[in-house]
Amino acid sequence: MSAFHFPLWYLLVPFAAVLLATTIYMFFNIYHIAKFGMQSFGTTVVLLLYFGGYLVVLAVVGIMIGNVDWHHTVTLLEILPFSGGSTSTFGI
Amino acid sequence: MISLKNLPNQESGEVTILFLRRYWLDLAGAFFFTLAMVIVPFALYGAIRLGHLTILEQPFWGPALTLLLGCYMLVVAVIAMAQITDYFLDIWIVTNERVINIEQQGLFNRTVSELRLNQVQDITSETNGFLETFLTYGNVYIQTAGERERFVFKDIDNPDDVKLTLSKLVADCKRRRGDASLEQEEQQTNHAIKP
Repeated sequence: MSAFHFPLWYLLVPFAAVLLATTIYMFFNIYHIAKFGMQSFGTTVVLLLYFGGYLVVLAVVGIMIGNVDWHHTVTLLEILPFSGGSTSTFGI
Repeated sequence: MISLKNLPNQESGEVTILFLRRYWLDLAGAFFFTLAMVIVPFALYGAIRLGHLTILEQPFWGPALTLLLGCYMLVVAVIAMAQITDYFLDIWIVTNERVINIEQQGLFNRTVSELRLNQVQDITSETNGFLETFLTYGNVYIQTAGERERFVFKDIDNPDDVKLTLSKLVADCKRRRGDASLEQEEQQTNHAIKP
């Protein structure tokens, strides 16, 4: 059972897909507001809040992910919760 | 961007009288929903810490939950943005000649419709329930004689004032341009009588 092992960075692949999807969605939102919103100060503020807010979320997520050793390899036994894994790799 | 000074198909002498959006309570609702969604993972994190669970120290589940939290935060951000976009792009513009209804449905569906003021037959304002009465917001329905469905200004501030202003504008427009709602009604009656 313990022969099955994989590096943690495999988990980053589905995460990258989610990141890509949300970023595309965010840009569509910004495009819609920029193209169809009213020409006003409020629209500019909303667009800046969009960019700022999304950048803050990206930064927080980046910091959380940056604290993890993604080259660490885990075995199937370690995937089972409460199986007694010892290495602390959690980032927050 | 759309400019109030340069509306689509604007006629000479056409002036914007009202620019309406849904009441701010809709946006506040979205804000508090997002806030609640953001608090949930932190509450869970606190509960895990308080319960002295070691799952966060597990070599697989620690990083996996970190990524899950990251995905969750991204999705919450996107949902919040979609709600703001929906609020921001739903607008109603009333000029001295027509009513323009611009509505965003989801991310890729937009409806832009307009109605000439001299086609209007009936305007109804509606305030339902305690909150709408207390905060003075509600709906305004604009009905024409035609078969098209009525215009709805949904959840706008001061619907009674808007109705009053609209009624005056409709009366002014009908004096200048003639009552197109009567012509529409006649056409419909004739159409109904003919076999």
